[in-house]
Amino acid sequence: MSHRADHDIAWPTLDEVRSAAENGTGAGVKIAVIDSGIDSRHPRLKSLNLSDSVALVEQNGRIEALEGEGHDTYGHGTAVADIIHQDAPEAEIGSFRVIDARSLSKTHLICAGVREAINRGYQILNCSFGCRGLAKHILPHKDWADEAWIKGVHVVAAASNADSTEAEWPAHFASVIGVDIADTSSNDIFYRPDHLVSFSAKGENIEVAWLGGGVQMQTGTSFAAPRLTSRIARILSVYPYVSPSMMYTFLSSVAEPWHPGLSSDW
Amino acid sequence: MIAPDPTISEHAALIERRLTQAATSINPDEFKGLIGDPGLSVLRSAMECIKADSISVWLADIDQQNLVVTHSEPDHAFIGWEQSSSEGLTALVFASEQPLCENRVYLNKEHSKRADEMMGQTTCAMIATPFYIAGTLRGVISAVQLKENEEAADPEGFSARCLNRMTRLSTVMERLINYRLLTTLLDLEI
Repeated sequence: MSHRADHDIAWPTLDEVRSAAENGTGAGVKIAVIDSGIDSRHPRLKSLNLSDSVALVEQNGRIEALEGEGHDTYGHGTAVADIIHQDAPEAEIGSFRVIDARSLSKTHLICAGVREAINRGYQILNCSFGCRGLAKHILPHKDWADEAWIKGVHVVAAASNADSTEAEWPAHFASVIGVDIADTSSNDIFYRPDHLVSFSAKGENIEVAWLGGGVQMQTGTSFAAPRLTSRIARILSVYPYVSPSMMYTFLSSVAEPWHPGLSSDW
Repeated sequence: MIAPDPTISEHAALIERRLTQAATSINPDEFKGLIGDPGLSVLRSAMECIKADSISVWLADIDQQNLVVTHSEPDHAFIGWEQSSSEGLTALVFASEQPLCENRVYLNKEHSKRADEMMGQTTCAMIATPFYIAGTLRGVISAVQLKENEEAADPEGFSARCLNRMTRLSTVMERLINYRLLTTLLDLEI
């Protein structure tokens, strides 16, 4: 899954990428949802190919990767998986449960979950979470974001809901596809070239799968990020060798241009 | 631009540590005194701006097992309400540190009706955003839109702009409290 030299590859044209982004199914692509777990019994996910269900748990000062048993603590990960599954129905999705209110080591759980996903060969990591842009959070998250980049793993992360210019990790790392909410009802993705969080998609009042087999109407950047994840999965299902750096270029080329009317900032 | 004063900044790590200690030891009774009139004004202004019926500040208890309502506007009857930190949207926001907005809450089979029953109301829409003091996660600020009973028409609901406004509210509240704590710790009168 490492970057390949250009001479090995027949690069697709932008029209071919656009076609893949619209018509790809996600087949053959593995997406890790780093979140609160995925409820594999939810009716909306019955055709989902759940390749892993892992729970990262803090036990006696150690972090263990245990069997997640298709369980979601809160519903958030199930919602994220639902959005991805709708847009890239043939992608394999793996659940890496790292969100646990009682853990005192959230950053370490996240880092362990991400590394587990990278080691299991996932090509895309969906991170619908963010840690505040404080210095103490930079290095732990930068380490795994860099490892993902080096190994050719695509990382998609939700930006701050307050303001996409407010630093949050991992969305503010340049190697990560940071995603903001676009005030739109369309399924388009939007590109804003002069921002670290360059992409946006709809994330307002989205009906998503939640716990107990039900649905909820949710708003947040958490639900915009999976739209970029599924778009990447569609492209990778047709062109599996596209590296994160090339993917950024392709996505920015096929996205619609951002305009101020899409902003939810006050 | 004002440059850091080396005679003061050499103590920055110590001051930061004391500030964090103070932040983690704030108890619910002290909270209203800490936010003061400016904090109350900011809370009420945000509530009006997003057309919320109620806004509440939840603080985690010492072992982070429960979230406790330490302040609520306009009805103070909700103050003291406790909820497990592993249940519901408020808990999710505390665990994930990611703000969320949920409309049509009644669609959510997992939504706890305990608070609604106690208050004699029906929650239709809810925003919850993490709340930090001195850079440390201490709880959640939530806003709700209500209706009198399940048969009544739904209110307008919250938008991404409302979520954005609540997230800013949390930041402003943190800065007000940090300022109050810092001036106390340094025995400053400014």
